[in-house]
Amino acid sequence: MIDIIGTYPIELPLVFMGGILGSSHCVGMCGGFAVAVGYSARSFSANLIRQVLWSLGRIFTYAFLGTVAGFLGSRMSLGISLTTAQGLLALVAGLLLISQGLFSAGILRWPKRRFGKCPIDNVSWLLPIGRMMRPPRNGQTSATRAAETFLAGVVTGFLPCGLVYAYLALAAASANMWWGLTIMVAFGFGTTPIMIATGAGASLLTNPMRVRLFRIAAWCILLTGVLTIGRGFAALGSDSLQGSPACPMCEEVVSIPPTVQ
Amino acid sequence: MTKVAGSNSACDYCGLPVIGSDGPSDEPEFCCFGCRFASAIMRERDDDTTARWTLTRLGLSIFFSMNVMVFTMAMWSQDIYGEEVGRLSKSFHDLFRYLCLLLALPVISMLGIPLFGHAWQNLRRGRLSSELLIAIGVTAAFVFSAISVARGTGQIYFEVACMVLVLVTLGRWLEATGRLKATAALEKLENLLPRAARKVRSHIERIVPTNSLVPGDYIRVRAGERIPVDCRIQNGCTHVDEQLFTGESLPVARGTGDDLIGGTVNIEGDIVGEVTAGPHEGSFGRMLEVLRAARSIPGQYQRLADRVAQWFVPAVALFAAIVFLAYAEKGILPAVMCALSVVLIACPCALGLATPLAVWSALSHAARHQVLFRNGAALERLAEVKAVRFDKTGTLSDGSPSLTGYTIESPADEDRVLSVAWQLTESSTHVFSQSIAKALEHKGIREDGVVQLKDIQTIPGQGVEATLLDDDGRPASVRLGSDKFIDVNETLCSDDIRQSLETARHNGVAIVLLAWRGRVRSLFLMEESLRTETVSAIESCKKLGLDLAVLTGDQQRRAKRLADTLQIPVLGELSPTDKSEEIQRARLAVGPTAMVGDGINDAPAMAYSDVGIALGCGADITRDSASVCIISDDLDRIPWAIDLARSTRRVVRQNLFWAFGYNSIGMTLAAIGLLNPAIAALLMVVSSVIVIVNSLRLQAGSEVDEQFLLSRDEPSNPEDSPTELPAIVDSPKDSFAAGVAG
Repeated sequence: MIDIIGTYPIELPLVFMGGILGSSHCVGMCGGFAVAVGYSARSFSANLIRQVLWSLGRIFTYAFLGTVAGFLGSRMSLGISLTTAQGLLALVAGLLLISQGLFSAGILRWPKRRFGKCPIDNVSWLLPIGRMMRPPRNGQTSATRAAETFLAGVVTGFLPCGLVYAYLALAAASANMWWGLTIMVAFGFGTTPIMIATGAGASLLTNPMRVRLFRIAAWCILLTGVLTIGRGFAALGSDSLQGSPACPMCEEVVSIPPTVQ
Repeated sequence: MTKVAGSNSACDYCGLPVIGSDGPSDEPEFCCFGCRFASAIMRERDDDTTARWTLTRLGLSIFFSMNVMVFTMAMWSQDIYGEEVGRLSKSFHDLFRYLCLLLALPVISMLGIPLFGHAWQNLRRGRLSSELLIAIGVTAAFVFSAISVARGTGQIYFEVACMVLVLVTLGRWLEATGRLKATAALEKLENLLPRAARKVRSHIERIVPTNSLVPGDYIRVRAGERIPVDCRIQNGCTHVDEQLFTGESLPVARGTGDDLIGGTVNIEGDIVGEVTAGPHEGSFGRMLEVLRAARSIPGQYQRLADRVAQWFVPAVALFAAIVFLAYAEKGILPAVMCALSVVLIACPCALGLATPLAVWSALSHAARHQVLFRNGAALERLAEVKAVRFDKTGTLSDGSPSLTGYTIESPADEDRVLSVAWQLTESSTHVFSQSIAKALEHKGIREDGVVQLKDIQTIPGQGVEATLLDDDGRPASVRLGSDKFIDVNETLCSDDIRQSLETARHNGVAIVLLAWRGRVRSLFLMEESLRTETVSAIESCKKLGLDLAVLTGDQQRRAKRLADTLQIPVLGELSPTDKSEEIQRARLAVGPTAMVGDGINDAPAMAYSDVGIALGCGADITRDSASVCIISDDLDRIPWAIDLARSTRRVVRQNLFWAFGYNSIGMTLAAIGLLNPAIAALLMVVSSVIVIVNSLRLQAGSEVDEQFLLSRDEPSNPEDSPTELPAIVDSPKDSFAAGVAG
């Protein structure tokens, strides 16, 4: 395989850390679901199992989206040269990540948005997800219940989220579906700890601790963005100096990971 | 949901008429696949596990489709580096093909079978549906891909089959939701009607289901409760919030003998009323009836779309078949793919939604703002209107004259004269009298105890007469009325009064005279007052670029004065026939003309106009001569309605332009084989969403009112507040609940 598709050993932990921020990001939206998932659980362990299932559903969707993004990135590289495509995508992804990081760290403020202007309000589309989380009825086996919880997670994963999009751009920049998958799985796992804790009703962290953690996560995102931009320029540079060795960061040639799903 | 009465049967989900149905039947009918699906999900019966299963099925299908796509993409990326595929990868490649087949199987069975079922039902009714074409295409794609897998060579398109099924189902569901949103808003208000009422019978009060009430029953409505049905007050008086119905934000006073509208809120008094209309038959029910009837009558654009839709599906089937044959030499699968693309892109969803969704959206929006269109065509015609002709009395003016001034013979006598005038007018029901009495009361004039009147009697069409007892006890005849009732030539008039009289006659102002002992004691000037919003409404109409004029039977002088006030032509001294002719003239000279009036006196003129707009229909919303009824007295609703009609026309045109444009471009791409069916399905969903969002835009901004109306408490509903059940309830709550459910 003649590719200089980079590996992301440095980014993956950063992505994971950034994913932790995902839980702060969406505690407004996803957090509500997380609580709803565990709403009728009889015991703490039953609730915990549901939370894990639900988060696995989300991770599945993120993985899927990452795969698609990576694949599209690789497809794009067929038209233009691989490194150019990768470089351009990396620049886009880097900018998205940096802006997300800056917003999350509170350095930039979100522009005020007016809600309720859209004629199709969000709530009506979220209703079916809520329906999946209703308490079980008579005659419902625990297997279907588990399936429903997992599927609710799958659907939740599709909910629009700026952070997810930023990481999807990163996945696309990898221009490899398996790396896209890996990045998004890392992100997904990053989102789980606090989401599960929220859903399980446990507040593992004190408020100041949480704030500090989110601050760190924001800087992780920022750092990922800076690294990605660096990669982008490196890729574009290597492209213009044809024949020159690939940048040290992306030296390692990757083979398709043997495990799928 | 309620079904439309009559020959049309309505969709069980979105309430819209079902095209080509055999009439009402016991089985729930659905206008489309989306509604069937959405209804299955949203069914409110909790014990029904089907609803959950439908949703789970969709969720599982999405999950499996995602898996299929990942494996397909894995194979594609191997294809990119085709020559590099090693032995390991080759075995993966084959494994992935089998995995795709395995994972696609549940999707085909879970989503394909319902689609086929719907197509089959339509086929039994003799209708070829696009669902059938899609189902055939998807099945063909699946079967031939499965054969490829079994043979070990050949292309596979499992991901296309899965994606198309998921997207078609999601898209149809989305459309159904959009339609429900366009239509259900008002029906939702109907659900506000209390389900229970306090029925009074031989002094015993018991709570009964509202549906069991019949005209003639007596009901009690306590303060703060919503009035369950139309009724007439027998006992008690109150203030009622009729905003839900008339848009009037101030509470109105209602006393014995007054009619109350079901659904409005009894604010303060405890009243007992006689039911005048059964549930769903009262004012509110009639309003919904008009709205539903309006939806079932297609307008011009909709007829166009319907005509197109009639031959659309067969034409698409034919075209798809041609495309299939043209590509058949490349192999069956590519040919199926091309034909499927054609079917998906040509699917007339956006086209079918383009007009009705915008029109229905606008009709509901208007109805919630007290404007009822008799049909979609009226909405279309109103958008075309170039000229508006107004009736004056009861339209621009509020119909009741008011006291604008008076002249007293001798100012020293003022209190006494006015007191006499008050006593006389207070006892009469004539509009002039009532208006004078009200104005005097406002001034603080009452019976002064000095002047005694007896034998007060009204002489119809002339005035009021009585016997006056002066402080010295001498009786005299006193008269109050027009200058016909009191002959000014034979009665003594002071110079002041004579001068006022002359000016009033010159200006065409109506007068009321008061005279006793051969002298005119006082002269009252009466003038019709314009509604408060008349000037602003006329201004708004001018801004819309309409040609405006007022048609009135008033004298020219009075017409001239009105013209000066409003700055528009006022044509006076017109008989009802003249008004009709004037309308004809406007239609010829300017273009489509709307006539605004009360819908009773000016019915002929309305009949000649393109759009008749009746103002202040109130509960009487079935005035036949008007194609637009404005329930409230609010003139501002007229420019509002015209603006809405124009916006609707614009949205319909945008929708049609988009739908036709998208279809023709997409069709070309599909026919030359440049469009993957999965992309085509995605485009179809996007196209529908664009049309839905564009149409629902017409309702934007209405959420506030809706929320206001929905936030009202319903204390009379015992299900919500069981503690408020009165002690005299003699039926246990369980049996009551059973009664409501049944």
